[in-house]
Formats: sequence, C-alpha cells, structure tokens
Amino acid sequence: MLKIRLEAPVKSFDFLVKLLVDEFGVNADELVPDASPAGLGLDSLSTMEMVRELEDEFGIKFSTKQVNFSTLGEAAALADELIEAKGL
Amino acid sequence: MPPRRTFITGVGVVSPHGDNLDEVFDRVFAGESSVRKVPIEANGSTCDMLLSPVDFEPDPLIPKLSGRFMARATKMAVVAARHALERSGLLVSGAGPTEAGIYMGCGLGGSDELQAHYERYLADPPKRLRAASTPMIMASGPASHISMQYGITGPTMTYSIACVSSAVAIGEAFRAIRHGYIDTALAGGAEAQLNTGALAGWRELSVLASEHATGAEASSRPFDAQRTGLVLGEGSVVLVLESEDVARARGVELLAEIVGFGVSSDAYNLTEPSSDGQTRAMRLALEDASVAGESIGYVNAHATGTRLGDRVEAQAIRTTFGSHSDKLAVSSTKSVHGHLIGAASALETALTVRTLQTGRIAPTANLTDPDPECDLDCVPLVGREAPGLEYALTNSFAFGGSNATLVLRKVLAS
Repeated sequence: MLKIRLEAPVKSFDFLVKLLVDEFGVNADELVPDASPAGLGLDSLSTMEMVRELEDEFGIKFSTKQVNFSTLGEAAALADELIEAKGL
Repeated sequence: MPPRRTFITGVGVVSPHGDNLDEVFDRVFAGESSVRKVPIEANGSTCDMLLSPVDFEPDPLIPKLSGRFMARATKMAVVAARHALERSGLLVSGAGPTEAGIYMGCGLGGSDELQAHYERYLADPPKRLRAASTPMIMASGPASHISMQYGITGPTMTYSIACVSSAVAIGEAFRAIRHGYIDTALAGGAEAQLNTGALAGWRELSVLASEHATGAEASSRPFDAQRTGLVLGEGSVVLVLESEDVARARGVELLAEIVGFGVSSDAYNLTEPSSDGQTRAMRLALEDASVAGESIGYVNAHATGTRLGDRVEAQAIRTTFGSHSDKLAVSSTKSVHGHLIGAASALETALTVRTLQTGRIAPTANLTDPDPECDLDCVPLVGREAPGLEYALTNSFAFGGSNATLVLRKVLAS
C-alpha cells in the first residue's frame, strides 16, 4: 500500500516524481515533463496505478479520454486543471 | 517417441531453513527446528502463533516496477527459480531456457495481498482497490512471473490442489518431459499464507499444533503420541527437470532421477484422509516407475502431525508395502520445517534428492514417544546413514482427498 503524504500541498508533477521514484523505482533523472510512461518502463497497468494514486491524492477523477495522455507533463497539467476546477 | 528418462539438474530453495539446499538438508538432518512463536495481530489484539516463517527480504534483483505486482509467494518463487536456473547452469544474461515449461503449485495464491487490498476496501472511509489487485491475487502469479522474469515461453501451468499442489506440478512436468512435450521444466511450488486473515481460518479449523511443554520448536511432532496438529510454514522451491538426452548433452550434474508419479482421489471427505486413496497413489507411483515396493528404502512421509492424518498414512504405507514395511525407513521432515502447503511437496522432494545424493536419511524430530498406531520405523530423533539407498518415495496428501506420490532414484555412477 502506498503511504505518501506530502507535508505541504504541491503541484501534481512534484507528486508524480516522488511517487515514481519511491514506489515505482524509476530513476529520478529520467523524470522530465516530456517523458512518456512507456519510455519510463511503465506498462498500461502501472500507468493506471499511477493515475489512481494521483486521483486519490488530490481527490480528482480523470475521464477515460484524459487517461490517454502521452507524457508526464501532460498528465500533471490535466491534474492541475482538475484540481483548479475543484477550487483547491 | 519412447518414454524418456527425466533428471533433476538444479534446485532453488527459499525455505524456513535458508536458501542453500545442501545447508537446508544438513540442518534438517540435524533435527534443527525452524518453528517459533510469531506475534500475529488479529481483531485489535496480538497473539503468538507457532509458525515456520522464512526470513525473506524483498529481492534486490526483482525490479521494483514488476515487484509491485508480485504477492509474497510470487517473489519467493521468482527468487527460487533464479537459484534453480543458476545452479543448473541455465541462467544466461538473466534469461532462462526459452522453450522450457513452468509447472508450479500454489494453494492460496496472493492471500497476503488479498488481505491488504480488502482491508483498504473495507476501511472507514473505504478506499478503492489497486488497479493491480486482481492479477496480484491469482494463484498463477508465481508461474506467470517466473515466465516473465526469465523469458520462458513454454507452457506456464499452475496446480492449485491444496497440499499436493507442488507434487502434482512436479509429476506433470515429469510426464511432459517423459512423453516428449518439452525437454526442460521448472517445477515446484510457492506458498505464503502466514498473514492474519489466512491464519484466522486455520485457527478455526482446529488442526494447528499447540505449544509443546519443552518449547515452541518441539511442537511439530509427526507420528508422536503427543502430537497435537500441524505447524504452518511458507516458502518456495523450484526444481529444474531435464530429459536425459538434453541434460547429458549439456554435461550438467544429474542430482536425482524422477522415475514414477501416482495420483488418486479419495472421493470421501473434505478434510478427513482415506487410507485407500493414499495406498492407490503409492501403488500407482510404483507401477509407473516399474519398481517393486521392496526396492524402496525410504519414504518421506506427508505426515503433518495431526492425530488422524499420521495414523491413516501409516496404515496406507503398511498396506502398500506389506511385510517390507518393517524394513522401510519413514520420516516426516515436517517435524522441523512445518507444513508449507503448496510448497510442501517441492521442499520434501528437494530434501529427498539430497537424501539420495548423500545416503543420509533425515529423522522425524521430536519423536520421543512413538504412537503405537503409527507402527513403522519413523527414524526417531536421529538421522541415519543409508549408503545403499537407491529408491525413495515422497508422499503428499491434501484436503479434498487428493493424493500424490513421486518415486525418485539415486543417480548411479555410470
């Protein structure tokens, strides 16, 4: 089970970086906004779990269409939009 | 194609006694128990349970990304498979033999993950299950991950038949090689159900041993008049099986030969064993091996330490072997390593391989007061030299009335 709780609110990209390094074993140097999940070695199931963690952390929900992002930067930007729409 | 001989050429072990088979056998031979009291949390309180756990650290060679999808039994199986491949010289640049088959036994699959995920789902407030929950729990996890980790593309088979799971996995792999379907197999079992939920079920079944007056380590007492039940263990054992032609062409050391396999069902009761069904499994295995009962020198018994089970197996051995029963050495190594359920037969097969290699028979530890109803030579307390030992048999019997027996033969100098 993941137990990541950051001390202060951070943007979703920072959360993704911490999640992928700590829980998915991805090398921090590879975590640039242009990186694709597949390029980082994440298969579809790992990518789905990454999105779930992002959703649970910020109380948001990606639509089926939104899940089809191509880079981490895109995923983070979508998450930021959803967070903003929530009024956080 | 005529039937082909099948040899064991590698053994990988993740067991309560360690991960080196030679050392594990020496400790079992010395009667050293791995049973101890382990604090288990349940319903807000803690109780000590008698268990035979594995000191298992998450393996640094399992990538974190794929390790996220592995239950504990699967991680143990992936490690045991690597040890087996390394010891048979079949691991090249991290990959195993591409066309091999994988035959694994597993009783309760990812029960640790099942519990963790349900705790999350049933929490207040509830949390969603992980996306990977379902494929992490399946009993075929160990076999599937061995295939993926080592690039092995032959049949990937899982046998989930309670306590005979790994005996049947090894037996079916033996048959597949003997009859030419595959040349090489990884065969064995994995089990890791020493978690709160699974243990709670076992506790209610009234088959677990209570602590013996002389200490926790003496609580697994097969064939003893003071036996009170079984001790649960965990682990994974994987054997490399190869056809004779392939093994000899590689020049690899042959550790032992599998010569016979017999399976039967009691068609009787969910938890009570039947001497008739067990006798049939042993007879079928001997017929399959074309070996007379008189040739068998050692039986590694299933005997778990329950009142009924040990007595019924002793009867079945007497019926199968007749007067030869008096000359037969029978021991239950569960007296020191406990009952590994889906990995039990694989561990006991591995120990029987070492028995044949070394000519040394491990004792039934803690057998200070033999039960007259288990009237066999159960090799009490002290291991024994048996230099002329050529054939041995290992028994496995399961809830649901499934019985499986394997016959092994020492590799004689050519």
